[in-house]
Amino acid sequence: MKTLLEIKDLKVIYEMGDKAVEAVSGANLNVRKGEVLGLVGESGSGKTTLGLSVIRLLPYNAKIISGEIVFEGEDLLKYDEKDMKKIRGRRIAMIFQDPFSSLNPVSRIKDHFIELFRSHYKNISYEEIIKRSRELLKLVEVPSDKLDSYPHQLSGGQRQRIAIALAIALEPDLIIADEPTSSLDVLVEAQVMELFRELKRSRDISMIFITHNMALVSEIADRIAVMYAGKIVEIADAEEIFINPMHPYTQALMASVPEVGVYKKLRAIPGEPPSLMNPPRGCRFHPRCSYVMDICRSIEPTLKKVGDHYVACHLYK
Amino acid sequence: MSIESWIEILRISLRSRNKTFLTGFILMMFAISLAIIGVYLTPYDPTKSYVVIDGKRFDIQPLLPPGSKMIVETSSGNITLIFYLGTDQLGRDVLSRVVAGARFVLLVAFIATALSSLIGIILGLISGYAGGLTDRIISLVMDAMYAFPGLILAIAVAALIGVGIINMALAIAVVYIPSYFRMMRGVVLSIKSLSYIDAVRLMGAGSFRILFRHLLPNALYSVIAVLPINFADAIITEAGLSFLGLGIPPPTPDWGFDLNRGQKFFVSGYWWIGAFPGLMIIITVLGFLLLGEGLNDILNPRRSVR
Amino acid sequence: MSHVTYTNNDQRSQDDLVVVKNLKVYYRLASSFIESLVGRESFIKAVDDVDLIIKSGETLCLVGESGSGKTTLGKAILRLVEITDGKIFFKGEDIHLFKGEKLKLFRRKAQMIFQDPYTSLDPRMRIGDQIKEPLEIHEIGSRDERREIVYKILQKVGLTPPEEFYYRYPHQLSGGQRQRAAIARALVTGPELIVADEPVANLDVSARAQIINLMKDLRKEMRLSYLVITHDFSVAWELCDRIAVMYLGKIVEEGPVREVFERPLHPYTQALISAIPKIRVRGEKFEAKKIRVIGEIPSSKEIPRGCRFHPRCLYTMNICKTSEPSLIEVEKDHKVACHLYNIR
Repeated sequence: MKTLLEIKDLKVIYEMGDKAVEAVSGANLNVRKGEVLGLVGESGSGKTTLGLSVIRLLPYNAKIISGEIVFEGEDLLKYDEKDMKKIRGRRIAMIFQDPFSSLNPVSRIKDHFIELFRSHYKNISYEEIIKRSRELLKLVEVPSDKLDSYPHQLSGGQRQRIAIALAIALEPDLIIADEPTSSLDVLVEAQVMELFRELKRSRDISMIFITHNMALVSEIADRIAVMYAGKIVEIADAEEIFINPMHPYTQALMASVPEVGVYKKLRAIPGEPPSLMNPPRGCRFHPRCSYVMDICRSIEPTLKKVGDHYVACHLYK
Repeated sequence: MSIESWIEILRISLRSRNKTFLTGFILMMFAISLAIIGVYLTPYDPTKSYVVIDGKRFDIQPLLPPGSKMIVETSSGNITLIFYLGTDQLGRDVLSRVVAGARFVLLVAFIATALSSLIGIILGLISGYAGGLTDRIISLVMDAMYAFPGLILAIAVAALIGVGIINMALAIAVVYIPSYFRMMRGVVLSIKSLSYIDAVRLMGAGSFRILFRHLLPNALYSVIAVLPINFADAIITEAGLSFLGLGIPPPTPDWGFDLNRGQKFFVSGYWWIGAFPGLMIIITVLGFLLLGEGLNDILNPRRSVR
Repeated sequence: MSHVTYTNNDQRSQDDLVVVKNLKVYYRLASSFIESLVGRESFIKAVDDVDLIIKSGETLCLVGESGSGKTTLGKAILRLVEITDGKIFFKGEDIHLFKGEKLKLFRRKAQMIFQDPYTSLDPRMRIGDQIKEPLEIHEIGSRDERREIVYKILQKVGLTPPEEFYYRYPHQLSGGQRQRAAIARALVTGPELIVADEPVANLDVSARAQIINLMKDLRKEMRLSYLVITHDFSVAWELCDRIAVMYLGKIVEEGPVREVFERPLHPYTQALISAIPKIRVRGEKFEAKKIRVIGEIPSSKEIPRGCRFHPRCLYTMNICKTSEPSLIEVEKDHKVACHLYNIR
């Protein structure tokens, strides 16, 4: 499979007053064409920052200080804002957790589509935009009369579906979805996940699916990357990673998540998530790891290929 | 809120290196020191247009420009009287008047601010917490008061209750009560529905505890930063009232009053009579404004995202 | 085939801790003057005629999506919201008749843990002082004794060393630690009932297991009964003995947790359970046919007539459009409100 996106040694910091916090510390990640890569982690893991970096929608106090983001052969970090504007929406699209964020409360739904199409295709006619919008709405199962509605007149599920419709409207090569179903009810979430699966089947989209929910990501991802405290600790095929998690954090995570229908003793991960201002020396997970060795306290492990997995752990040499 | 919290706030603010705050703080301290110790440093009596040396009375020449000197012959020899900022139309030393004026202006502004904040905050607390009809009625009254332009309202009240320091302070206080009320009520409304208030209610706490142990301390932080700004506004209102003759009666030195008098002489070229009191107003007001802005930045930092 | 109805049973059995009868909590919506004249005000029927029993020592989960009324029901049981109709009994006594000392006693015996650990603690007070506050209000112990009690409870919830955590402020704690502090505060008066409103929803994945395990340990140690309100089935699976599924203000199914999960009877429950994301392992074919429902939850302002689920149900019959089914015990201890099971 062709590689669509290659992230190399990405480092992103947030400036807080006179201190800097490293939210992403040297991430290496690939997304292949036609695959859904699940990016799993808790809050503070850096997964959202990573997603935002690709599409360059970081908050003003965030800075990408090193690394490369190679998208279809081009390093996006060398693009200026003008070039990124051409990419956003057209070649890389994003879906946010809060559907209200993607939608302008004082614009009708059709205005969103008009703005989207017009900003990338100067000469497209109004009729053509409406025609395409109707098709998109049909695809995401929202009645087409909603084109004249305002966002607040729609339900949460409908808003998120419209956000999805907007994201796929220009047929981008890559979609980044950041917790797209977290604010939705269980049934609606299932419907939206079904929609994602359908899009994957029919349009062969490539996607980065960011979430903290392991079960959810297993419903759509082909490969899964696990992040902890700004670092990628494991990457493997979705099926593989659940049967044979290799990194202690991945293992601990699975043991601590309750699953319906499964009788298991919940094992909480001891300790607390690390402060990113003062991360632990060596391996960032070592204070909480049951397999900690001396080397873990001083040397940071790098992501290495071990069998079918990529793992960043001294246990595997 | 305890004294320790206030000291803590002061400490954090001074250490914050926030330029706005520090500039304002310096200016404010300048004005306050003038008010407190200034009276003891005035070279001349600000209300008198003559000096008495060795029992002999010497009239001071009016309308002397800044830096003028006057030589008087006394039994002990020739004494040079210096008027650094000049003298006004009645022969009073402008410097002395400016310095002494600080005391009254700041006193009035302080009383007014203290009164209006106390009343406004308590009313806002009660109204926000009680809701219902109580809230509606109090808000209605406050909105009516708020609808009046500040100075007009102050004038109306001053005209009703007469002049004098306390009366002036009252008139000005009335103007600002609605602002504190609104602010406090707004914050109380937003805090009231947070779950820690529910938790305290579930403990079996009475309204008093909820209001003063939980709502007030949390709401106060948003309001504190506005105090200095309000203080500055009160000074201007006071100056306005004095300017219009509704303030402290002469010959008590007052910046607004002097500004008024000085205005008439400005055209004739005697600029110092009004300029220096006016300058003091600007410096003091600016000081408090900057202090308030800086304090607001420190206490309620805005972490903007984009 | 006989079925037993549970309503109108005035005799409290020995171990019924909480009994809810015909509870209605309606909120009136602001209406225009004309509307109120004509009597056409709209109501949100948050809780619409609900019966419920929580037994001593058991953990009951209220499960539902948004608009189900589960949080309102939980708060009503603690007399935190005003009810429109119905009765709530705590240990046999009507809680709305409690006054003065009786009310204070109720407040000691029934407590709540809130959803958001970031707003459920007073940001300006030290943790220790907040946990101590209920002791002050109820005048339990002397000054020194109170401090000791707080230390003990801090230890119990795992915030050690307690001397250190006593003096910290909420913003100095992580989400999981804050929730522990909130639990400590709820436990300090020795309650019998704890209502937990989404106790882990706002926590990170790694903190969730800690809190769930803590709640289990405390339940055993302090002989607590829990009413857990959640939208997350995996939490219900872990914590609960019995589960009651709510939809638009009514309980549609109720029974032991394992039973309801393995054999859900109500179409809504079936849909919910099939919609739960599950970790798929190799070989497990993804079910292309998930049990679906039509559309989304209607607004609580316009509750459908008859069975309130009927517009979305795949098995709607004529009777469903006109008549509301009652909650009926269909199998041992397993109740459901659905006309599919009424055909006798």
